[in-house]
Amino acid sequence: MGGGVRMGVAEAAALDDATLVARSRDGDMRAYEQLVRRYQGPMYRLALRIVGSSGDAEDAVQDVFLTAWRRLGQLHDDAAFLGWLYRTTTNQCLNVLRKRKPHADTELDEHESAEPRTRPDRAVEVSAQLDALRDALRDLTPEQRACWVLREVHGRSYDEIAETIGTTQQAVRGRLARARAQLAEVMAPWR
Amino acid sequence: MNCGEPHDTDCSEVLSEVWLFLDRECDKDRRAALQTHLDECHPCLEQFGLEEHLKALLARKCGGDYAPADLKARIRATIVEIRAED
Repeated sequence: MGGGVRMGVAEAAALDDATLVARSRDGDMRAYEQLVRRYQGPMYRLALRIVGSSGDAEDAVQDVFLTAWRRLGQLHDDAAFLGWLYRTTTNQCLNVLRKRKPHADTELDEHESAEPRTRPDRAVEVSAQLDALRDALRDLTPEQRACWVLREVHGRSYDEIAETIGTTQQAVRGRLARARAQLAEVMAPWR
Repeated sequence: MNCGEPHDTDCSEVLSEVWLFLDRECDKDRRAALQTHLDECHPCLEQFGLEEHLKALLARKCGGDYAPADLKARIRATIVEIRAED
């Protein structure tokens, strides 16, 4: 890889994805670090929600960013980097789930219940909600879970989800409907 | 479900599309028609409110995870290793 002009962190932070991808392809590690800094959070959240364990999520995200680094030369549209990351992360996570035995635990954010100011009765209720949601998410198929997480947690459009998972918009709508019906049933007591 | 009142858009139609509305996945005209119906139909608005609440609840429960602090450093170290091998 060539040795393009290196830049400072502040300069890198101000650049758009396409520029950072182009510079990364030229071997500029700082540019790629900025892309990692920019998207490691969303990709980790996505992976954690799909695979359900922080260890597997970390491994998946690390693999994704390494794969992305190696394959930057194959990316035809530099501006499409984020969509490519979503697709690669989702596929990586679905592969993890397919290899794993069914009903592995899904970890959920305990942030709300861990708040010190939460009243004890409220903390118990929140904990019960989290347990119910954990069970409900665990019972979704991997594809339903991926569609639901991409839509509800990441705000991706049906079109983007279809492209990410490699299916049709119609299939995405169907999976979302089934996922939501199951989750709604389980979460009904807390509506 | 039907509330028995006359509407341009049928209640069952509205409720079957409530998620498209919430997800902002219907076109402008369809969105306006659904919004008009919700504005004038209390049972549908109530159902819509429940779905909206559920959507917010689920999204809130699934937010707030942060990538481990050392993840970026680990990725960088591995890339440096790979580059050294090349």
